[in-house]
Amino acid sequence: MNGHGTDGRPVLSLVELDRPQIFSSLGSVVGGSLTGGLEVRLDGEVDVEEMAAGRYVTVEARDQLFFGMITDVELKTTLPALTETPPGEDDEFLREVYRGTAAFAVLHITPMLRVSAIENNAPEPVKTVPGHFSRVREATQAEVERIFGEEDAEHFVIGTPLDMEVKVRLDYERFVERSNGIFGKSGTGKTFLTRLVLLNVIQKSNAQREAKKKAVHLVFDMHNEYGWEGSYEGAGGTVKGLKQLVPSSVVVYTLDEDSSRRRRVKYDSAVTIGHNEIDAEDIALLAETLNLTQNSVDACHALQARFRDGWLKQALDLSMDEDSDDTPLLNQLAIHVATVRNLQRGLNKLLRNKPFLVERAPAASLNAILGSLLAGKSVVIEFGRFGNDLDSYMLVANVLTRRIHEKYRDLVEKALGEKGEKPIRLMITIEEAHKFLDPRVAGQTIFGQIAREMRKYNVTLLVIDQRPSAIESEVMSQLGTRVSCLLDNERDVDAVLSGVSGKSGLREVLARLDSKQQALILGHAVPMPIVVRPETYGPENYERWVEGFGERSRSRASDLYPDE
Amino acid sequence: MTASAPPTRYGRVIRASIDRFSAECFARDGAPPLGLLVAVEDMEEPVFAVVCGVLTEGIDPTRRVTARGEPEHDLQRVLDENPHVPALLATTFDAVVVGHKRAGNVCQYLPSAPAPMLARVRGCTDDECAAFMRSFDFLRLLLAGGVFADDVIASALRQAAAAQPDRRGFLVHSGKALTPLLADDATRLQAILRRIQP
Ligand SMILES: Nc1ncnc2c1ncn2[C@@H]1O[C@H](COP(=O)(O)OP(=O)(O)O)[C@@H](O)[C@H]1O
Ligand SMILES: [Mg+2]
Repeated sequence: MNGHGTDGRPVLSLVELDRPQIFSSLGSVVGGSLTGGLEVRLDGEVDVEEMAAGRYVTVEARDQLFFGMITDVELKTTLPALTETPPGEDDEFLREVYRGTAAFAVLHITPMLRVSAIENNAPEPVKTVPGHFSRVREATQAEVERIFGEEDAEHFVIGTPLDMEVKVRLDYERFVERSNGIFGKSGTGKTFLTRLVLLNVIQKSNAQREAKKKAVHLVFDMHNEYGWEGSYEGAGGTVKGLKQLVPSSVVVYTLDEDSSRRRRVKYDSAVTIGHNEIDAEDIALLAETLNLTQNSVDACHALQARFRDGWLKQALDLSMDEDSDDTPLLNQLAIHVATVRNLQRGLNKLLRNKPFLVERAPAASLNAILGSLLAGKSVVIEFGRFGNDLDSYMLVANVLTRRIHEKYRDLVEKALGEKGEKPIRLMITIEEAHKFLDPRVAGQTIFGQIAREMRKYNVTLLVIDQRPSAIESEVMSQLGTRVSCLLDNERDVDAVLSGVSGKSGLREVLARLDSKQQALILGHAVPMPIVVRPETYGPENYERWVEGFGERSRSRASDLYPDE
Repeated sequence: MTASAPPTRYGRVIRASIDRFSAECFARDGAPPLGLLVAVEDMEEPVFAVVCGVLTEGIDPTRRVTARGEPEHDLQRVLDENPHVPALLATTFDAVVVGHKRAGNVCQYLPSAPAPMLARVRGCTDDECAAFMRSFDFLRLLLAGGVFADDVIASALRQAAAAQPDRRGFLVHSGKALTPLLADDATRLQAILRRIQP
């Protein structure tokens, strides 16, 4: 290709490739704005039913190309009379005449990126719109491929755009440097998508040469889906978890050895949490589910201030008798007897039937987790049967995260002081994230803090949630990359798109995703928002993933079944 | 062109303005059909027009043709009994100018001068017709062509379509060209479309 068309004008194209010269022409830009998106009148010959929201188009402006997404398709007519008396069923002739003339379709397109067609520059965000009557065509696969980067140490495949065979890739570096979110209604594929992301981040991390570019996960695996194997609605009923696919990079801890053993999970160790490790703050977070009054919550704080890490034991031992030995203490801390009753009832509910909660946990438990993380291994904490109990989930996630975050803070500060190595980057995965990041609690929880301080201490979050609107908006705005499956609640859609330009168009796209295995990805790790069909997480891909696995690139299928 | 029969000559221009002309037919019963694309000869490059009306009347304006014969006499009998009548009649046709040729190219807008008086008017060849119908800009000139413009347009398009390899495709195309021209008169548009519906 000599770079020039037959009429002497340069051929507008992002990629110099042998590819068909005939692009599917769609129409012409006839109006619009940068904020409101472009209006494109569809050519008469183009079948409107072939269009799909979420698909990519290329606009050929004078010296540059614009890329945008179809966000809406509208039917219009220039003859008002036609809306009152449309051609009848057997008026095929009239219908054919009107199609594309008096009755036509308008595509609404949100422009996302532009690239100079003459110099081979990188795509940039749009700051203007293409001129009137610029021609619009379907984006070619090569263009999409060029925009979303090649698969290399820095990019990993997440899925395939609508109607294309190319791959969409996330930028590993940009993904792990910020907190991220995965959203969608129940059953839309969040868990599968998360597993895919976790796996790919592990692989890319392993492929990094520099220690400071590596990252590990800490996954609070509520429903036991990530560590050893996950359930699957299709044939077979299960899919392999991280431990089976990348055994040397993953350590599985369990809170419920019985359950793990029953499910034949090859876990590495059990976790226990000591009463001494639980803070008043952890209890405050659970106040609602434990039916604790504000007075009880205050009492927790008062007791902790007095008894340090022995406060919980104290609280459980407090006597409610009128003139017991505890009366002066209660008076001193201004705790009413009724409060003691409420508090103890709540605490007993929390502690009942939870073998993983012990009076004094061996320090080894937390240290083992920290040790695994700092050694570059991702940690999955299985909850066994306790995952069904939100209190347990939140308590454990909070206690462990707070401890680990403390440790990270120490290490980072030390590293800054002595110019030593910072600890390996840590990404913490939590489900039902809004419980931790609800506006009422996000100000106090460790998770709210991590989200807000960004990557200051090398710790970020991967939040998974079906109700993003319940997450504090400031936390949402800190999420670098958002991946969302179908959401049908308008407020959830708005929450995911908060702070995104071209929001109104994307809203339509998000609300119209397929109900499974289709996701809109936007933010830091992608050059522009895109709808993808996530890679299928299943047997057909296991081998490829394991083989694509950085330093272990020559591993074989037999590695999938390590005889540990 | 050499293979096809020479086009029929219909008459001579007897009245001409920039946008239309009348011609008297060489034969009283030799008028061109309504909607036919005709060309004015005897010019360096022809002017094209579409036949929009035909009129037969007495030659002498002071003596009008009177109805003869009894009610039960059919036309043939009346003609047989009054053989002199045809000689008293003349036929003229009107045509709306829809374009001309300039430097070998078809232009679908008015020429700079009217057709010359007494110039001959002939039907267009199939080739001329096909070349002319490549564009539908002329429809705008026809739309302004008088009370029966709708019928003129419909017959013009139907006749042109008959000579096209893809008759239906041609009609759909012409319908699409008409649509924006009549965007503010859907009833009229619909009326014309119904007339050309294959
Ligand atoms: N990427 C994928 N690969 C294979 N199956 C998928 C994928 N995404 C979704 N599914 C199918 O959809 C079902 C529900 O997905 P899941 O991740 O459990 O939803 P969620 O966590 O949002 O409730 C899965 O059991 C699986 O059958
Ligand atoms: Mg799930």
